[in-house]
Amino acid sequence: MRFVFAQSLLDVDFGLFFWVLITFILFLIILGKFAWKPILSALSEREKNIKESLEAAEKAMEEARKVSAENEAALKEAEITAQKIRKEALEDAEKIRADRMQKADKDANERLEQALQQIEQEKKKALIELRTEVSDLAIKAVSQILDAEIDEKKNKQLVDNYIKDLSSN
Amino acid sequence: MELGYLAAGLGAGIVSLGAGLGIGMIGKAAMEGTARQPEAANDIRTSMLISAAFIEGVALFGQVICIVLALA
Amino acid sequence: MINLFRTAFLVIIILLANCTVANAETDKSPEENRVDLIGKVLDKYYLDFAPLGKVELPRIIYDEEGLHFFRSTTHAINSQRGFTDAAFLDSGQIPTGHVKPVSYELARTNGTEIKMDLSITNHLFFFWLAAFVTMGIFIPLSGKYRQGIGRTSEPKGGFQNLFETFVIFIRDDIAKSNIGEKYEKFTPYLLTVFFFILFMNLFGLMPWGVSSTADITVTAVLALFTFFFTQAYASKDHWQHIFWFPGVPTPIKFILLPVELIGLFTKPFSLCIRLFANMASGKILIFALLGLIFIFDGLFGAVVAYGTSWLWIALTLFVYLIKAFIAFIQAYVFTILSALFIGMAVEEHHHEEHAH
Repeated sequence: MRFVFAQSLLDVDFGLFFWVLITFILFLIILGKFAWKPILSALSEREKNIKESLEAAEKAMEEARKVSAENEAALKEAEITAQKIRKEALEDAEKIRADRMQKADKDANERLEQALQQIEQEKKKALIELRTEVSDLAIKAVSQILDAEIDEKKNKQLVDNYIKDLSSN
Repeated sequence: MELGYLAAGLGAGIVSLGAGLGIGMIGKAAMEGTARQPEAANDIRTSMLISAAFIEGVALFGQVICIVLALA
Repeated sequence: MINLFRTAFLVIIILLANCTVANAETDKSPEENRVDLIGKVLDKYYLDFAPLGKVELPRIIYDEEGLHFFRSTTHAINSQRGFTDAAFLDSGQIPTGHVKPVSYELARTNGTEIKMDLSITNHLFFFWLAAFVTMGIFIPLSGKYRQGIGRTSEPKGGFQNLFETFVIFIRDDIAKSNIGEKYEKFTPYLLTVFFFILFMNLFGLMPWGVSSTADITVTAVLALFTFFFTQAYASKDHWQHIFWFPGVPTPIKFILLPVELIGLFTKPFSLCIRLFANMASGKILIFALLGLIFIFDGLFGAVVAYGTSWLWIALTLFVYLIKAFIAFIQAYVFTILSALFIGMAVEEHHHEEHAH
């Protein structure tokens, strides 16, 4: 039993070297052109696509966020405006109401006063009428009682004076 | 001729010893590094392999010389 | 792993201590029991389908008379064109009639030298096979990408997903992280080298297959390509660092010059030797472990050999699994170191860093 260390383990064989060199060059060129180029370009394209779509999604998200923020702001503003409008309307209504009330009050007062004045006037008229009536009645009565000598005119004046005195008291 | 075989055998053994020690130390350091910083495990593994490959290269030079001695 | 080897060692010691009795039987001559361990790893001019037989590969010989093509070595020897087996020439008598080759080394009968032996060999055959497998996988795969699967949509099926994972791993983790921003130019080379070495390594695990990377010629060519790419695309700084190291005193520059020059060549050399030695040693280890059965047969007899064979087979299985792992690791290491060397050469240094 013997181990045989052949000489050629570390020898470079020229024939093999030649073939391997040529094959490897061809192999590199063929593989580089027909395999790696399409594969690598496809991979980088896909990665680019993914990156781009990610970026686009990010951008869309940002946009959406912005739009929603805008919407929110608009909503808030609208609310504020609405509130303001409501407040104004309330104020207006209040004012109108107050005005109306005032006006109604004034009207009522006026009417009351008018009525009072009328009543006063009526009263006065009635009083005057009453007075004339009373004086007439008195004169009639007195004339009837005294029956004639005395001038009717002079008597009337007398009675009038008397009533005047009466009323002034 | 006979001494050549002896030298080749001894040389192969010594070379293996040195390479084993060296790679063992790298492995130890890498393990410690990974334990301390598990998040750097990938980088550590790569550098470990590279340094181990260098040591292995030196060892293989030795082995080749041993083969040449055995062939002589 | 260490435990297993320790156990194996102990078992060997115990067996050696107990079984010396069986020694008496072994009176066979050393030549008969010869185990040609390294010969198993060497390049051959035939495909070995033991025990079914051999398939001889074509021979292409270039000599003074020009190129000679033969279908097989047997054909060459029996072609009456002045070729014979070198073993016949050494023994001094050239047999006549139809003969089988012995050493498979061709020689001229008239004594003239063979200038070039461009024959197709075992390793070359598996080298081409690996090349065809790589092309057979990736060219149809690229067709898929061309059609748009994987380009615009996600990859479809396990096949595409599997290889895409590898491709992306090499592009991102090997090329991009080691070379830097110029990685795109070198990614095709690194991808080619990775898959090519991987398939060559894996062929060594198949029955009757051999790994072409267990041949120093093949790994030398691969390392040569890395060297070529490293130097061809090297930056100005790379050359400056070799010939006139910046930022150190002038005498040290002269010391650093040879160091850097040697370093230039040891890098591809170590690449070449590393891959070759790893693949070849795995192969030798398997043969050596299985050979132990026959060594034990020779030392202690058949009973012990049969009795311990399960151990060697278990160990072989273990080494085989390690080899499968090593096939991937070495392809990865070769690729990452190539990327590292290219990255070191291509990198543009900032001189402020060195002015210390």
